[in-house]
Amino acid sequence: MAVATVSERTTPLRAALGRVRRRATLISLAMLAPLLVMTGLLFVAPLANMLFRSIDNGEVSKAFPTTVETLRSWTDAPLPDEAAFRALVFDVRAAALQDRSVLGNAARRLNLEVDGFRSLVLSAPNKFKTVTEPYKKTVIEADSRWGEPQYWRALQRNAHKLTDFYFLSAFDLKRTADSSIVRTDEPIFLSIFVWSVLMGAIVTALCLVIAYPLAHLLAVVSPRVSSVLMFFVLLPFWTSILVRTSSWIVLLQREGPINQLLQWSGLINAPMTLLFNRIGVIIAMVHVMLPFMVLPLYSVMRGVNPNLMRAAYSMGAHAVTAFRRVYLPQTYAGIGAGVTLVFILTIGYYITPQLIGAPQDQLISGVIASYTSEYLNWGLSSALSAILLIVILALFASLRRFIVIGKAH
Amino acid sequence: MASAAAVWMGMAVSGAAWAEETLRIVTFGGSYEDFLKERVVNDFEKETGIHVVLDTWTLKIAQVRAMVEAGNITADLFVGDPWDAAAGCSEGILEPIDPKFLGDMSDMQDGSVLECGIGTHMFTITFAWDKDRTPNPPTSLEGFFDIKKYPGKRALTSRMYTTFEYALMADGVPNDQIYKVLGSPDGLQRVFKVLEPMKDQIVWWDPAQLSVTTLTNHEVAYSMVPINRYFNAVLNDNRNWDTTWERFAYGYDTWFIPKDAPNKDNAMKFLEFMMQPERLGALATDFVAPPSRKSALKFMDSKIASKVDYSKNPMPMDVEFWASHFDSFGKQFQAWLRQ
Repeated sequence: MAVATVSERTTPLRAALGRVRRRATLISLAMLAPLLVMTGLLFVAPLANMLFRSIDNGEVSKAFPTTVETLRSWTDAPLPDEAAFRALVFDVRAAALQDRSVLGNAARRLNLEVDGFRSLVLSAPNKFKTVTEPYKKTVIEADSRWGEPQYWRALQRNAHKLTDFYFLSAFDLKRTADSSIVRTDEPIFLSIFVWSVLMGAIVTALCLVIAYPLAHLLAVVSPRVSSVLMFFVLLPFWTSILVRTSSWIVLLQREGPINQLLQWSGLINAPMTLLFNRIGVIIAMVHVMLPFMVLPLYSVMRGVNPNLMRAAYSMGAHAVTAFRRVYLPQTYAGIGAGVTLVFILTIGYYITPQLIGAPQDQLISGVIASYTSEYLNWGLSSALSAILLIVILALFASLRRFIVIGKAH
Repeated sequence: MASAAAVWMGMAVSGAAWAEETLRIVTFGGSYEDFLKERVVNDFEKETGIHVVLDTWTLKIAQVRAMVEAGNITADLFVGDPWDAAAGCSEGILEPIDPKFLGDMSDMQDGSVLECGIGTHMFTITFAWDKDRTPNPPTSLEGFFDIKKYPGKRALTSRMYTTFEYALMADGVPNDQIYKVLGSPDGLQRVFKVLEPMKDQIVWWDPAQLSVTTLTNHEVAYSMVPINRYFNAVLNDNRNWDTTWERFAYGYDTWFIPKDAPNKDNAMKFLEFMMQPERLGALATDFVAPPSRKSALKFMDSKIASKVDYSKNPMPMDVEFWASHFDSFGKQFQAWLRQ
């Protein structure tokens, strides 16, 4: 009975509490609204747009609607039939009357399938001016390339509005005339991905080896010394990345201070090549990334109770054992955070490799940038970006476990 | 892309203050912009009352495409590479330019007038070396690709154009056959065969500044230097460099108008104003680059004009060829570099 009374009394109170909580939630949501809208507009929408571009394939069917429809029935014959040639002439004449981007975009897209297709499409309106029936004969007379099946197969392959072409290219694959998937003649992207991940691993490992003792030192010395050391760690943050990278070019060049010092000390006879190769990129990248490793380690190490190490020693543990079993596990969280940060940032970095490395040392992000702005192949750069995004998310998910394990200790 | 967006947003913000009679011109920046201002822009503003706003870009045609696709055209006139003008034209992101205003077309050099672009000054890339360090340089193009006879590192442009043409020239291909050979099924293999013996001795430059710094730092013995940078080093920085005019490929700095540019008419007025032989010739002196107009040559400072020997064996670059092959060549080149 008493219990029931209590619960009856608490019900309005709980409801009131619920109302207050709901209001608080609404207020905080309202306060978050600008952020959510901005994230949606500036982050989610461009990302979705980018992902869509990697499969978007409207160019060919827009410029050649009847041709691609007619080509559906073309199977084994060496060349498509008269109907397809007539449709082609019809489509080209219709497209020439529209905005020039219609034919131009189709030309660019088809040029990715067959080198030189661009000029075949762009010259077509002019060359088709006088063609008449029978179209098959006159079109081939106007430009003999229309007598080669590879161009027609490329048209046929691109009848759909969506394509796997860019993703296949990103994995160094392509479709042959009979639609089977084979490796391309010039595989590059897989090796670039492998090199990017390898580079991320090398830079991360070097950063960890250098940053671990440094962060420990920062955590144990007197506050005054620590603040001076911290200044040097943070200094690169306040310097422009271009300035830092150019300084490395000066330091690493053939007759630069590093080579002169090494020669003067007698360690080497001839100057070493440290610039425009992988060694240079790794040296400069480690320097750029170091603070991202030192800071998380430092913040964790400061929280480590020194008494625990003393306790380990007093119980007869060897220095190595004490470090391995007592100190190291307590810094797992910092290692996890630092490794994740440095690894992900390194893979996505491209200014330093571009300035210090050779073209073959570019990381995947640099390749994406050049496909976006130089080659204007936004489909391929979108596909590469999507793959990079997935790789990074997967790595992040697997590395996250380490951080959680670290916290459990 | 990020830089394109930044430029684009910056333009949009300052765009709020547009006056009615405005012209927004985007150039290479630096001394190019200074000379243009001094020789053309100031007079143009005085004469027409049109307010000119100058801006700089990194010659990434993606910026123009992003602008036109978004329907937010924030610049009216660009100067850039001719193949970008050709590719952008066929994609429909540039306005066709009626060359009627130029008058007599026989006065224009071959390759300087495109469907959507007007070339103003010649550019080329030549091999340069430091005379103090390299007393016995090659006298012909073959020598620069002959690593046994002329040892030492080379800095070549990784942008492919001119590098590939020169490799074929060194292999004995005559000028009028270069693009026929390059476009043939094993044309690229022939280029790679020339480059293969010196592969580990090549420093590939992309930001063009590296073509100069690799030579000043003695990182390389020979460098392919864009001609304006070469003359800047020799005339302004007093470098003791030399180059050869034995054979070279050239193109024109080309001006173009993005599709639906808000001040298209003003852009056309400006082109007409700049293309007057006297102004074009004066600019040619500043840029140390011959003008695209034959009648403008006599207005170029003869002392400067005499430093360049364009008469020997020049080859016009095939703009359409590069617009068609850039993508597939890029992949094959990258694959070869990684072998």
